[in-house]
Amino acid sequence: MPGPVWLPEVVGDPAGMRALASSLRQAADRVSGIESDVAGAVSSMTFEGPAGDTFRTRTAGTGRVATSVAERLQGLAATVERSAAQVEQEQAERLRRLEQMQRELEAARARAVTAR
Amino acid sequence: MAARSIGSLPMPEMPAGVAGEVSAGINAVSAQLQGQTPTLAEDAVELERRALWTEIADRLQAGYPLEGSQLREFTAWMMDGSLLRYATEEQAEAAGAYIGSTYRDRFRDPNELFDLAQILHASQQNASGDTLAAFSAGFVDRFGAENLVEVPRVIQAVEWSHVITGQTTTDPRILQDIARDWEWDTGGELDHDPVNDLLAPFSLALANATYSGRLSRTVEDEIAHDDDTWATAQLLVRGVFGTHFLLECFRTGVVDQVVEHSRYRTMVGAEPQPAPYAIGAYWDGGDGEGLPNHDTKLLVLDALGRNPEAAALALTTPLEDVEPWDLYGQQQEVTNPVRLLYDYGEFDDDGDAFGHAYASAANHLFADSSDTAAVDRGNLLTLDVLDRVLHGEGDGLGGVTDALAGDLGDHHLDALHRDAAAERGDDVDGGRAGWVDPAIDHRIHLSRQEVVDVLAAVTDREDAGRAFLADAARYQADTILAGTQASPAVAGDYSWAHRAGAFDQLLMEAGDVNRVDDFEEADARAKMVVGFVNDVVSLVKTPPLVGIGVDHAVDALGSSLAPSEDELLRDNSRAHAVIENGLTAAIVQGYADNGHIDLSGAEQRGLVENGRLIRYNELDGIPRGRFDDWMNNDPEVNRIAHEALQDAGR
Repeated sequence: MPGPVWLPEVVGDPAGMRALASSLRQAADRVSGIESDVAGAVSSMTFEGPAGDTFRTRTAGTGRVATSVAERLQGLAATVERSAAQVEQEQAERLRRLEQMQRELEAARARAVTAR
Repeated sequence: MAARSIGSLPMPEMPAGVAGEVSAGINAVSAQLQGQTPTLAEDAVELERRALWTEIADRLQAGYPLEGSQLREFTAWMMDGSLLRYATEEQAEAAGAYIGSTYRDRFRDPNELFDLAQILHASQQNASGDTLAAFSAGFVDRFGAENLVEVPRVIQAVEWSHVITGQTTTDPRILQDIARDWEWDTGGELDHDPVNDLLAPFSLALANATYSGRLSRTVEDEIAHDDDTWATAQLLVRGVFGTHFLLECFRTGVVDQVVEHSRYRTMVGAEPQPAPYAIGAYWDGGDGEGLPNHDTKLLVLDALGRNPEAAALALTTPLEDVEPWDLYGQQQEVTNPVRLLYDYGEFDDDGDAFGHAYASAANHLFADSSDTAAVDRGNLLTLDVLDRVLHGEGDGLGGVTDALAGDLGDHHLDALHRDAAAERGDDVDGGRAGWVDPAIDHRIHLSRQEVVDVLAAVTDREDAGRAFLADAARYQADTILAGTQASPAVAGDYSWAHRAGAFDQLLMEAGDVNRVDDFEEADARAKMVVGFVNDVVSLVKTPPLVGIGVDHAVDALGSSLAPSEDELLRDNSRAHAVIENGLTAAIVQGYADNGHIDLSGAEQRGLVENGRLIRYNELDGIPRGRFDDWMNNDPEVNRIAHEALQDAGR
């Protein structure tokens, strides 16, 4: 007698992962928005002299950090989305194989009854 | 906020590798954003403060009052210091002036005074350099000298309100109305430290204003010459004050006070005293002592100690029109400030503040040995103090002797060694201690007896004496190590050894170590001198040498090469021998370290390890016997020691 039909689970929640990716993209957009708001405000500001130069240098540095963070968040969102698609595909493939194995099991049982 | 929202995103189930990567990535960007948050917040603060400055600078500089939101923001941001952080010098000065004029009529209300103290404190925490100096000068100038001097009286009235209200005082300077109101309103409760929270900010503002030279002489002199010398002295509690201002305070707060008090030296109990309401003494959170109250000279002298240039000028500039009263009630003209303070001054602190000012002055004058004019003035100052310590009329001035010990140890050890060994060691003038002659050299000169006397005076002070002798031991060790660089020769120059020997001889004389009868009762001073010799020995890394005529004494000490003081004091003859032997030992070790002693004899006896002579005090029993044998019988060692020490013992 063959054993029960079984294949290992494919770990992952594709829907949840897509929601996370969406949140990460929104966060990236917010950070980019803040960066461009600050950059716009600083460029239109009248602030002359060494203190103004120092201030602009510092805010430019902050802007670079924000850009880097936004890019990193977009990258993470893409990674999560790719992974979600892969998980979804593997989970579907597992279901298909389980069904096939079930069919083969039932056919084998039928052949055994006929032979008796 | 963005960092927090990213960090709190819900994490769905994901494959292990992806979950780890996402989690690490989110943590990294959260940390990056959090690192930027303070910068962005500070940027926002800076923009707001600068925006206010652009709005109000013209009004402040033109002397117009602020109103509405501008006044509210100005006050709030002056109290937290953030406005001054972004001020130019001109803006800071205008802000100081505005604060001064705003509070000059309000500071007698204690709550207003607390706010003002907070503003000054915040300015000192958030600004520095020229900006703080400009703010401070603007404030003091506009607040007014008379008002500033009244500030300590307001603090006094608030702190002591409970006592002042319950007593009758005839001192018109005690602000009884403020004390009464505060007691009535609050029951005398005070949540501020009177010295550190209230007085210190005013003191530092005055210090910054005067030290920067931005305050007018007129205002400085008004404060220094205010009749309420108690209050002026309280204002000197913190910070470094300008030289001109301090010299004026020295005149009014020290010189004139000494002269005035000298009237009463023969009339015990007759001297008028200020009311005993010392700032900081009544407040619950204080140490119960507070600031000097009866003797406010101490505050001025302490402030002088924090400005070495002013201290040097105060203690070396001849006085004019100063005539204190002597013990017979006769006025005597005194031009020497050290003499005035030492002979006529009475100090509640054992002379510590006087000593502090003197030490500061001496360090300033001797800071640059190439500035011979300053060094000459420093030498005269040292002799002034030394003369008073030896011959002055003052007592209870141990702090001055301590400072003299420090000065001698730091700046005059070479002179003391040369004078100890001088051909002509007598007192040239027979009167005032020591002499200087810049045409010959730039050092002090003392007779041998004066060296003995000053060494006795210095070593009579236990801590200062030990510190002085530690300096002297280092000096001698350095001298010996330098002197033993050259190979010993019959016609060599051993004057360095002679000077060290002569100094040690006078030191023993000063410490009474030579006086056999007294030795059983040898006191801390004798122990200190013995310790000095051991210090020299240890600094040259040598054990005392046996076989130079004192071997029996050393042997008698058993296994102790650097003997304990108690052991030495048990027997004068042994101690005396070992003290003399210490110098010998140091010199021989110096020659050994410099490779001028053949160690083969010692090596044959197993006394050399890793190419160096084993320390005598690490040996006992038979090995020590072998060491004694080598030291006593090796002709090379005896020759070298003899050549060096014939000069030392001259």
